[in-house]
Amino acid sequence: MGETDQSLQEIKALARVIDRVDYYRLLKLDPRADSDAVRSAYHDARRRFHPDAFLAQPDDVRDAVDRIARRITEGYLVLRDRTRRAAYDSALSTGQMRYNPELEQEKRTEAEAARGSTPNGKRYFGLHQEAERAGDIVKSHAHLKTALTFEPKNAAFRTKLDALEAQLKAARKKAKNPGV
Amino acid sequence: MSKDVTIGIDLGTSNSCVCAMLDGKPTVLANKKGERVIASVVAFHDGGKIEVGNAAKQRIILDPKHTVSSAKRLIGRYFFSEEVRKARAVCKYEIVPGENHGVRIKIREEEFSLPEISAFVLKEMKAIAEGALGQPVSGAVITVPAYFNDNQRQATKDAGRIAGLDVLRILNEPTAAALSYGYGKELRQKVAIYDLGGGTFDVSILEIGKDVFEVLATSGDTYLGGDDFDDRVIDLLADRVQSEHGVNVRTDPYAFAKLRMAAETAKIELAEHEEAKISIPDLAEHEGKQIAIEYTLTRKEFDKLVRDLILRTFKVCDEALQQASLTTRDLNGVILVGGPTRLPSIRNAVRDYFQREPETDINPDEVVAIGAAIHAASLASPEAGSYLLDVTPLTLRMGIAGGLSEPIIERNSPVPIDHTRVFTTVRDRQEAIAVRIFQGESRQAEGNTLLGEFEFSGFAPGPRGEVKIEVTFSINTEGIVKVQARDPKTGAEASTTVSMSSGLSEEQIQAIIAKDRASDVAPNSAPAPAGGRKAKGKADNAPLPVVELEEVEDGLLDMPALEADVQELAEKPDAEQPLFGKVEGDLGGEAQEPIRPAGESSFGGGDPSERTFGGESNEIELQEADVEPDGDDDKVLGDD
Repeated sequence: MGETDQSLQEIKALARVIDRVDYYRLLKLDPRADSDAVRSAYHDARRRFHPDAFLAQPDDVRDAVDRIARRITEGYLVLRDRTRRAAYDSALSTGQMRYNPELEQEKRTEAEAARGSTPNGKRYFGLHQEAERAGDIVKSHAHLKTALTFEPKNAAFRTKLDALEAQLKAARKKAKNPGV
Repeated sequence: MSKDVTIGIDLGTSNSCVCAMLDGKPTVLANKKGERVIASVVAFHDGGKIEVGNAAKQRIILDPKHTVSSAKRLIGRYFFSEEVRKARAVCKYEIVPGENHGVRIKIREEEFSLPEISAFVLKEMKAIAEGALGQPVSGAVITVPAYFNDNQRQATKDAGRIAGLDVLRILNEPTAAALSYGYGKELRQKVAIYDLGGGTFDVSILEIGKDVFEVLATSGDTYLGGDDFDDRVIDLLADRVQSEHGVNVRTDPYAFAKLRMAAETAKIELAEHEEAKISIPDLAEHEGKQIAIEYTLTRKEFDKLVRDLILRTFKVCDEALQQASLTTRDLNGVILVGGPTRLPSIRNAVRDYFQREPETDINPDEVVAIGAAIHAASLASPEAGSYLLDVTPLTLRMGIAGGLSEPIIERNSPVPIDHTRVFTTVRDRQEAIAVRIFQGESRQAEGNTLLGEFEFSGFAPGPRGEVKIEVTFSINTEGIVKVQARDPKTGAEASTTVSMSSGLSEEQIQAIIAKDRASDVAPNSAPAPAGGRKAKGKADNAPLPVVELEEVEDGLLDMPALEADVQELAEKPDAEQPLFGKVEGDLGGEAQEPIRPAGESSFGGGDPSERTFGGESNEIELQEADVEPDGDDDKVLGDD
């Protein structure tokens, strides 16, 4: 194959330190690069480290190329997705080189929890949202309260209810003293 | 690299094709009769002669019980799977259960695994290439449907090895077709590959950027192909015979084979003509009377018969486009692959769906083999000519409590890719952790295909919750799954045992290859394969591990849909010793290779002799260290 011994050594060295290389460095990308640049950097990186180009090399080199190639794909999957990239950028600033997909899972669970986790909780939260959109504060308050009886530990519901109650209070005050 | 010519083989359900790069030009290789498209049919003659190709196809009518066609539909499947059930109803050759829930084809007294059957076809393709090139060939790229799962890919690779090929790479058919279309043209295009083969349908959406072929999304249906179109015509004809003569020809293997042949011929004729005349004067005999059928099938009638099948393909296209975040308007080209796409019914429907004329100067029977040959040559040369960036077609999943599964690597993720998870023990002094791996899109574990059960051991046991094990799931560029485990504290690789995997073990493959070699050297003195197998079974029985049969049965019955099969087999007295007997024999297997080397293991190499059925594996509850188990549903119950 065309690879020189030196470049093979470099590949093995890169594979050894891969956990300390961030996706931008791996893909040779500017941190402000846009999505087109991400894609073309990904293509370039894949050209440099495609397992197909190293078929005839010894096992250790092929393993190293595989490891690098897998990390390149991972970087591409993260950087091409706006939400993942934002999460990665903030993790990177604390010194984390790899994106943690479990954070995404947690966020998803959080988002799901915010909408309710029991059938009745979900149902009344939905009714609450509907009433809120219709501008009916009293009804939306009542539905949210019901939702909370099904999920007394739902913090998102609680926060929302507190805010709504403050809003209601203010509205009532306003109704009592229209002149103020 | 050696100066050997490397070849590309399109191993199809109905037909296969072989191609090589000669002087920089892809050249489809023909056999001595000048045929370039070879029927993937294996005929087992009475005297032991094995014949492959278009002559073998004729044997379907003469000797349907000993002529194997469409074997690709069965490769890498479990015996209890829907596809095998379907095939057993339709195929006239005998399909029997093999060890590890695998599938075997029984010809006279001999049983063949599916990789062995496919190897006969591959050997023929290799021989055709060697005949045409006048030199030995070993390196090959073999294509598979993009939607093939790990079991099917592994089994195909095994077939290649059994055929004496050095399988450089398993390549997805649509990707090969795209390569053939865009190679050396410096294109910048987004294209759809519509690949309707004999038994499978695949669609891939690719972005071609000069030398990079990036698959954006792929989707498919491994239960849909040209064979299904034939079946519709067969049904029409069989119904007619039934109403005219009151005879059910479906149960007569000879008549059925004739109907199938006629249906296929009619289908091919309809690609060229407005109507096809079907005439079988000697279809069957009933009460001493000759039953004949004459029928004229028009294009219009055929269109009606298969309309729903064609619509099903577009549902798959919808899905692929959606996954690629594109609409048909974003595409610059549509490439048709597979013999059935010659049908005007399909061409017209494709044109309507994609709102553009499909590429016409591509031979749908040869385009995949050509792409495979281009890539085979590029793999063997110092400068890679093109870079193929593929995706994994199915979500890789792990079984969790409650019969559910959790995604590990999402479908349409680019490959190679990996994902690492940390598991902890849930019992004090727990010595092993087991995890079941699936591929598919269902949250219910059963709704997916089981790739295997992995058991990790060899780490230092300790109090529950304190022992951690890091498991890395990876998928390589061929779409083949690997699982490795290590102790994060020491960095030592854990030993891994694979079980419940339908494929052949490394040992079995070696035995088959050795047997083939023996018969190559001295064809007359070679032991009969069946005998060889029996002898091996005996040796396997020697040292008995401490596993009670009941446990074995429990473990088996855990498998989806197996119960029904077991019953069915029990009711069938002539069925070969069914699952239990086989498994009992397997469990007796000596631990020649009970532990995979260095904690690394791929699924196909599962050693059937090491199995953790029943009791033990149920005890090992796996728990993830840093992820709250998917407990939403449980919480629902609690809060209600």
